[in-house]
Amino acid sequence: MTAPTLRWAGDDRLSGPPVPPWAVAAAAAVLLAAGLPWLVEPYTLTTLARIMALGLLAVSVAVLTGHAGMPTLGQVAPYAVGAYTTALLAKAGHTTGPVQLLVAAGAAGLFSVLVGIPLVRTRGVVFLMVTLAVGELAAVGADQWRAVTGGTDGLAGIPAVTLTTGGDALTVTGRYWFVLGATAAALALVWWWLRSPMGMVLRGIRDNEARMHASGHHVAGVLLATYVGAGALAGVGGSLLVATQRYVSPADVSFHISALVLLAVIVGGAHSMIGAFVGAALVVTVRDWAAATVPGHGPLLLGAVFIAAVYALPNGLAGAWRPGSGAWRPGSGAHRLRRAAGRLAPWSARRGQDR
Amino acid sequence: MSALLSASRLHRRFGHLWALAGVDLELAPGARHAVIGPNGAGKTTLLNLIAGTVRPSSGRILLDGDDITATSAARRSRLGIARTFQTPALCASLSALDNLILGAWRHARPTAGQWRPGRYRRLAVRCLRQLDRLGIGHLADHPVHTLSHGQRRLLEIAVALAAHPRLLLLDEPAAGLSDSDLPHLVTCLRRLPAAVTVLLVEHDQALVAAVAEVVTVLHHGQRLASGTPEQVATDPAVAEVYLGTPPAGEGR
Repeated sequence: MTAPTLRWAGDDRLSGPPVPPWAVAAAAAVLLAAGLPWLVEPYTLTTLARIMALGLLAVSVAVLTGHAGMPTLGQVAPYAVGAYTTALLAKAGHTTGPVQLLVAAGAAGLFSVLVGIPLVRTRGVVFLMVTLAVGELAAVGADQWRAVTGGTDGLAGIPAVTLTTGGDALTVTGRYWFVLGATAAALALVWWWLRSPMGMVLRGIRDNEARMHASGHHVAGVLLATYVGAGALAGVGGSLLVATQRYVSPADVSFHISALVLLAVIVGGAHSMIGAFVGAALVVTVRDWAAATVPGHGPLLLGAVFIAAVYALPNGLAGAWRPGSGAWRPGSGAHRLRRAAGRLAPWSARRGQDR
Repeated sequence: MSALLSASRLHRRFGHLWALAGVDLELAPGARHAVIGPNGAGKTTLLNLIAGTVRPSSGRILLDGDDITATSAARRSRLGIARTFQTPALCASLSALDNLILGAWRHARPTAGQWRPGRYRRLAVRCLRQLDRLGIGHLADHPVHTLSHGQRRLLEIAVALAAHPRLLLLDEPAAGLSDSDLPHLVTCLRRLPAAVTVLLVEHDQALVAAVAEVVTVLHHGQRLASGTPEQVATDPAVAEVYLGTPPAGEGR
C-alpha cells in the first residue's frame, strides 16, 4: 500500500521499484487486447468494448469510494450524461470520436460540478443517500425527458463514430480499437492523477480529514476536483458505450447498472484502479457469457460471485494479487464478511453502532 | 498591544453544558504557555476554539490584531496556527515522510504553483532532513500505522512544525507516552524554535514544569488562576481543585 512514492538518487528511503510489475502487466494486457480482432469474432469484440465502457464507470466509483473515501451509488448519472450527450452529438452529425469523448467528458464534468458543490460538504450516510438519489434521478430523467432522450425507446440509429472529422465510419473492429485506445488513455490519466501530489492529498483526506484541515489543505476543493474528475471519467465511459453499441436507452443507466458496478468494485477491490476494471470484466463475463450456459440464472451466479468475493477476497482481486495482504491467509471468515459488508454498506455498520 | 494571540470572553456551550464560560487568554510572541485543569475543565475546547475546529458560542479571537473568530481551521493553519491532537492525527496508510510532506505542502515557499512537478521531490528532501533531526529518519518510508504511539506523537509534532507556524497548539502531548518516551518529548519541546509561540494543554506536571513559563488553570470552563508554574503550584485554590481539600473557613 505504502510503496514509497518517489525515487531520488542518493537516499534509498525515497526509492521504490522503478517500474511496478503491474504496470508491465497492464501494458502487456493492452497489447494483447489490441491483437484480439485477429483471434475472436466481432460479437466478442462488441462485448469487450462494452466491458471497457463499464470498466471506466467502475474505476470512477472505485476512485471515489476507495481513494477519496466517498462511497457513491450515483456515478451512473454522469455516465448517463456522457452517453446521451454522445448520442445526441452523433445524431446531429458530429461523429468525430475524440470530439465526442471530450464533449461527453466536459458535459459530465459540468454536471458533476453542479451536483458536487453541495455534495462534497456531506459525509457518510448523507453522501451515500444523496448520490443514490442523483443516480435515480438520472435514470428517471432518461426515462421521462422524451424530447431529448427518446424516453423508454431510447436513442437508436446512431451513426458510427469516425476517428477524424470527415473520415470513414469505423467498423466493429475499428470501434473496438477506438474504445481500447480511449480506455487505456483514460486509465493512464487516472493513474497519473492518483500518483500526483493531489492524489496524495486525496489519500490524506481519506485517512484523516481533521489532520488535513489542520495542515491547511483545502479539503472541499480537492474533493470537488476529484468528484468532477471521476464524473468526467464516467462520462467518457458512457460515451464509449454509445460508440460501441450505437444505441442508448434508460436500461443502460438504470439502478441495475449501479448495482452491477458496485459489485464489480467489491469483487475487484475499491482501493485499486486495475482491480475495479478487472472486477467489471468479471461481472459482465459472468452475466453475459456464463449465464448463457445456465439460462435464467444470471443473477444467481452474480450472487454467488459476490458471496465468494466477500468471503475469500476481503480486499478484492487486487488484495489477493498483492503479497503480504494475501486473501487466502487463514483467518476468520465472519470478520471478513463484516469488513466487506461494511465497505458495501457503510450505513448498516454505522446503524449497528447507533442502536 | 503586541500579543500574538488574544482571546476574549470565550464561551462555548455543548447542549446544556458550558464547556467554556468566559475565558480570556493572551499569548505574547514566543511565549511558552500551559493550560492545565481537571478533566472536563474546558482545556481541549479552548484549544479547539483557537485552532478553529470548534466555533465559540460567543467571544472573540484575534491573531496579530486580526479577528479570526469566523475563520476556518484550514485558513488559520495558513495564517500560522498549527496544532496536534490528543490522539495523534496522522494519515495511517501513508509513510511517515509522506505525512510530513503533506504537513508542509500548503506552507512551503513558494506557495504559488503548488502543483508544479518536482515540488513534491524537493519537499521530500527537506522533510527527510527534518525526520533525521528528530531521530526518526530511519522510519521515513514506514507506514504510520506500523509506528509506535511515541513515534507517532513525535511525528505529529514534526508535521505541525513543518507548517512553519507562528503559534503551535499542543493537546496533551504526553498522554499515553511511556516513561522512556517522555524525556524524548521534553527534549523535542525544549528545542522548539524560540520564535514559535507554544500553547500547551497538559496533565503531566513534570512536562509543564519543564516547558512552560506561564500556566493558566481552568476549572469548570473558567480561569481559576494564572502565573508561573511555582505560583500556580502554591495557589490554594488550585490545590483545592486538584486535591479536593477546601481552604480553611470555606464550606463546600
